[in-house]
Amino acid sequence: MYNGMAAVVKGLLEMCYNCPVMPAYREPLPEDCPPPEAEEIIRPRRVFRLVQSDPPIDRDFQSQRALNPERPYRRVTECQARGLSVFSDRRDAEARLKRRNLRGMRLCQVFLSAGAGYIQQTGDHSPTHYTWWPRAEFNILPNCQVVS
Amino acid sequence: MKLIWLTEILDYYDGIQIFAGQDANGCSYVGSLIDRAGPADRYLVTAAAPEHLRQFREGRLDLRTLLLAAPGGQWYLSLDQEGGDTPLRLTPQSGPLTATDYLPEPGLFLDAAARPARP
Repeated sequence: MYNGMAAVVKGLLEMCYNCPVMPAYREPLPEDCPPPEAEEIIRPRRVFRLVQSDPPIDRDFQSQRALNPERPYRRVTECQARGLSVFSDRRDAEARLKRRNLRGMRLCQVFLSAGAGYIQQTGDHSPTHYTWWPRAEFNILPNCQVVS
Repeated sequence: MKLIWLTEILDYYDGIQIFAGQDANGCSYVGSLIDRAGPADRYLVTAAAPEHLRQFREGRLDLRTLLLAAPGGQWYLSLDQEGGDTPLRLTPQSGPLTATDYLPEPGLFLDAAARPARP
């Protein structure tokens, strides 16, 4: 009896040791988010995000879900609503500043490196638009530089 | 009150910035986000000729020109606070659209990166 229980406990402990460590994201994400198609950021890359503050503050990197917990969405998954929009192309990001609702915002280049989280191209008409799911341990603000 | 249904997201940045829609008669519309008020998004909406909408999708027509090309200059505001597949309610507006500050600046094309460089 005792040996049987010990074997079960030992098995459970081994399972825990073999479990992959779940990444802790900046915001709570639903199951299967980031999606399997998203790419883990391993190599350094530069992306662009519009920010309201100069220097940028944490709020500039909150998802639309974090900013508006009750907002209903159309054709936008909960996973995407909890990610951040960024562009790989500076011109495409700057073009958005022509929009009425984004006028007056600043353009920030963000240097992503290993541990920054996951990223996925999203948007049928915007090949340089990406959704980024930052990991909690990635310190965004020191890696964000306002460029215009 | 006119109702339209969202058919396509044309531009996304932390939410739907520009969308295409259709009414019950199959007429096309384009909506452009103008501001956010708490849980609601407010859009400027105009009817759009299919050819103009195609040119906009292809990066050959900018958003301002598309919005100002609405038949009869008719324009609407829509407050989207329901989400899902519910229709958007359009409230007709009077006065010229150019007298408002709802329009984007000239030169906002879709897919700027894929557009050929201009001289």
